[in-house]
Amino acid sequence: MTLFLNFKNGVYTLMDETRQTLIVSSENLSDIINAIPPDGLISVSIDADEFFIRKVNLPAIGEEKAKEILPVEMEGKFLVPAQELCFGLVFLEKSETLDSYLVFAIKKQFLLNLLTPILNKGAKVTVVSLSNLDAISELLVGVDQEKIKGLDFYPEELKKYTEKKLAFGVLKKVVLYALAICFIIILGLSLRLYFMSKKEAQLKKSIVAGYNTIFPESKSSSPSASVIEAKLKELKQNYRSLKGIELLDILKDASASVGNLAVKEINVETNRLTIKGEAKEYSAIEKYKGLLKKNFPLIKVTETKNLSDGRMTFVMEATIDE
Amino acid sequence: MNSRKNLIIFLVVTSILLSTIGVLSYKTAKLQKDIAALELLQRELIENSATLAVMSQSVKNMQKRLEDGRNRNFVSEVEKINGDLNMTKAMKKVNSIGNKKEGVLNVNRYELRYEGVDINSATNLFYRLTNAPLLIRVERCNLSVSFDNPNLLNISLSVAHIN
Repeated sequence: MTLFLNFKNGVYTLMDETRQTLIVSSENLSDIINAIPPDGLISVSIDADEFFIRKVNLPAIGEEKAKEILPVEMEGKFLVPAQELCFGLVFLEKSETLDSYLVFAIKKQFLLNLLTPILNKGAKVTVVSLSNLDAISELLVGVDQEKIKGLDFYPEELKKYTEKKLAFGVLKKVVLYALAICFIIILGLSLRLYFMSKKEAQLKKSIVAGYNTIFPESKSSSPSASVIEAKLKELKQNYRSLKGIELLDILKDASASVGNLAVKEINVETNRLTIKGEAKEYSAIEKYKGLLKKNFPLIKVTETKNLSDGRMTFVMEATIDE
Repeated sequence: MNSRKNLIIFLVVTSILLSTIGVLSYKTAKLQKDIAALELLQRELIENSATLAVMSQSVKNMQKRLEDGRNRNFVSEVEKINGDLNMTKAMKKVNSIGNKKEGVLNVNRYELRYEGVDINSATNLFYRLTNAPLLIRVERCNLSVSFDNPNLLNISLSVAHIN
């Protein structure tokens, strides 16, 4: 939605996009600024009476180049130095060496004073044009008025200012998004920490319950996980150092009866079991091995030797689990 | 002046937020590690609950026997077992092969040799050694069929009397 701001005879008038409805009219610019929405688009028009108007002849170098040399060419032709003015020019006619132009100029400071507060409010100025051409109609005989209406006096300085402001706006948005992301991350991490703490508490409770089952004498205490871990380690260590070889279990397993097979020797050392024997056929050895495998999963036949009478000797080795 | 103030506020807020994220991330990572360790411990306690309970009871019994057997003589105890099992003749050797320290424990090591023992007596012997009033740890064992009589066994044991 574009709003129209007009300046005439020291009075600012702000109209809606239809140019039919008056929003506010005041001699005080701040009243206008207050009425402008922060993200509004403003088309500014300034009464033609506020402009200096000169007819000048410039070298025939084309309109674009003429615009560039205009501040130099117009020096001394106004009451104020040319560098303090904003120019607009309309081509009038062409001669052999010179082109004739109608030059409009307005004080740069006036534009800055008018436009800067609008930009600071966050609104965007789309164009700064002339209005009320009737007031200078005698100067415009034979001039294409549409060209004059198309002139834009938006100062170069403000273009940079606007770009800077836009960049700052983008930066502000980026910073705000970054801060929002940070907050989301913090929220996420906090929630995660909360749920993990709950899980940790549950785990500790379950561990202490399990510990109390194994060590019923310590039921009154609630040791930490590290204490429980150390206690289990100590238990295993004590068991290992006190227990020794479970001879009865080994004897029970190794004396499994298989036809056509006789165990001749059983040797147990630390966690290594060796069984030597004789069998009439290899299938008996395999059957015996199969029976032992239940309690000694890693058992294997390491040696077999055929004897002259048809029998065979064997050696089996296994690791004893703690 | 205003933009500098804003910049300082922004930097302070950003530092606080980043520090908070850092601290929270560190705490989360640490807690995750702790939870992983706890889960491992919990799994061990659940899966090996029965084994650990038996082990705990067994260690308790062994420690009691260790205390009870501190002042007992190993050789006399073995001779008593031999007498009870009628194996005095079968016993061919009982040798002390030195002692050593294992932490706070004194370990006296012996070698025992029995010859011509039937499987039933061997089982009884092992039972009595394992449940003797003093703590005996069997470290090595060799059972072989007797050359003279294939129905009998020769037994070599390397045991430790722990006190």
